[in-house]
Amino acid sequence: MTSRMNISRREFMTRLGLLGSMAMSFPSAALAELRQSNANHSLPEWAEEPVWKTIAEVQETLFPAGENIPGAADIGAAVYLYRAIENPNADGEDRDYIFRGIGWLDELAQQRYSKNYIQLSGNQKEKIIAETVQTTAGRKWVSLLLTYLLEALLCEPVYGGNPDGIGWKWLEHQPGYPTPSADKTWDQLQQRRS
Amino acid sequence: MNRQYDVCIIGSGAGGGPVALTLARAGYSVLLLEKGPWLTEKDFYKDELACCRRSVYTPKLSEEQHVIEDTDSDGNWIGEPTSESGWDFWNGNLVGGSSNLMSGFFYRLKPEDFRLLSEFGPIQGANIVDWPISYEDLEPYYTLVETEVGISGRFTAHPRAEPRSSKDFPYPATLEHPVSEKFDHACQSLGLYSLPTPRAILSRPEGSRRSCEYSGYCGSYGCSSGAKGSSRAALLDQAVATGNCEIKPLSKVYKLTSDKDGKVVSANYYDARGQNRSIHAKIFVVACQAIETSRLLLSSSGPKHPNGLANNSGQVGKNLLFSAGGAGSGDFNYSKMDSRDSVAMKRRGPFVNRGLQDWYFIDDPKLGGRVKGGTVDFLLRHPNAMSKAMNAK
Repeated sequence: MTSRMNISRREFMTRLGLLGSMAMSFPSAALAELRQSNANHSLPEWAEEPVWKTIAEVQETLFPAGENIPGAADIGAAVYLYRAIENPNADGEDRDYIFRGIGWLDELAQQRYSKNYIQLSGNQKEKIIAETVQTTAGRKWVSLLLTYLLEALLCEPVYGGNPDGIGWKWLEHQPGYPTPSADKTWDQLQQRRS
Repeated sequence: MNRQYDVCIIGSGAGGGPVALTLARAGYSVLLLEKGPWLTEKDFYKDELACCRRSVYTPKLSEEQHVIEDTDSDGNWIGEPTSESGWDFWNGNLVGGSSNLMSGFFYRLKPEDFRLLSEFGPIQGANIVDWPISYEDLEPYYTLVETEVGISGRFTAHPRAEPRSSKDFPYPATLEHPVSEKFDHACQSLGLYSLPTPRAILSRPEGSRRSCEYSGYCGSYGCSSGAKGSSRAALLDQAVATGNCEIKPLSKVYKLTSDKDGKVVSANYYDARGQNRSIHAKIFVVACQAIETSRLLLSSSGPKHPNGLANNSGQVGKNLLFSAGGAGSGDFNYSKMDSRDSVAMKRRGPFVNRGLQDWYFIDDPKLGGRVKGGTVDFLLRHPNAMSKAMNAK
């Protein structure tokens, strides 16, 4: 787990954008097409659970979509995170921490606005996140979510994030080949250790 | 009843592989015990999560404890378990070892490197000695390795060149990135010797190994084409094909047992199911890299070896040396290039493969006379996208 996160969200998105040439050559048609196709898919059952709904909202606050900028939902951030932390080969520590953090977040939202996080306005959500990162534990929690967000943005699509390579296209990243099939993902390879 | 092998080798990487192939070809029965799994080209993909962000090639740090001692930010000497820091020194537990994940820069040492003490004098606090063998002794083996592993490159005469018995490398150089030509021009105008880097990467197919496919993801990744000359792809596959070499993956040796005369008679290990087993052989070869070799030798005490095996001088586990170096980087400013150039510079796949040895030895009074320098390698920044993005966090 990493805990470094001392910059604003906007600066973070800008820094990230600098990795590619972002707006200059990003095929916005690819994003529009992806959004169209996402709209036609129904959400899996787990995504309707309150904790996952809140996680998805936090991810969108941390990684907001713009007209020509993929956001958390566009990059499959929740699907990626779900598969990553519910994976029996994962160490379980991250899952516990993320779930505990959602509890803290709702507590804080209740204290400040007498509502759960998910019921807050966009502005209020940002304020809650800004307050959360004031504590070491909170900063660590947000940093962990960012780590998974960035993994979702740039992972092999087989892991549930980066659908149609949208993150690669956005950052002008040239992926390698061959790419893994579902039976050759990291957790499948790790099982070969025993 | 356990079969007795002529030779049992522990560890299948760059140390164990050549020994296994040489002995198997000579007709000896060889057993190779490797604690990692036997992955092949069919298991290697250009997947950053598998290669670099999850523990596919390392054991669970909580189960196999290492402690790294270092100075902390206050200058205190402290030890921290890798299981707590998450920073570890495992380099690849799998058949073929870390050579599966190497970049394959295959330089030779130079004659002076074998006699650093007599060439450069003592260093305070260090117990440096000359090698008991010379470059000339080792030269035929360098040639052999270049052929067996499959080194591609292009020999260029230069003042630092070490003597070679073969004129050039056995395989032509791999494809080169457009920046290499610019680099050559720059060196020419600066009066430096731009040297093509010898690489353990096939530039054309050989046997069951395919040529490099230039995906742009080489170091840290397992090779999907077999072009990378890992111990597994280049040596062990051939050793097994002789019929004299058997590889047991997922076999973790924890002790070498020696008899009352001090001779090592068996290796004790846990197999894939966690069962305690032992194997008998006439000779044992320990080739588990610096740390695990030391650990195994030190934990293998016996009647004649109270301080562990091969440790009469108390030097096992000391003088640990990894290759040391520094790094610098620069950026291409695409906006200052014409569009054709910037497209060429963004290209991923072919290798830069250039190095400088102009400072291999440095004769500068400011450094107190002639000192050992090294090679300056030039390469594109590692393409791993997630690790770059994490820096933006």
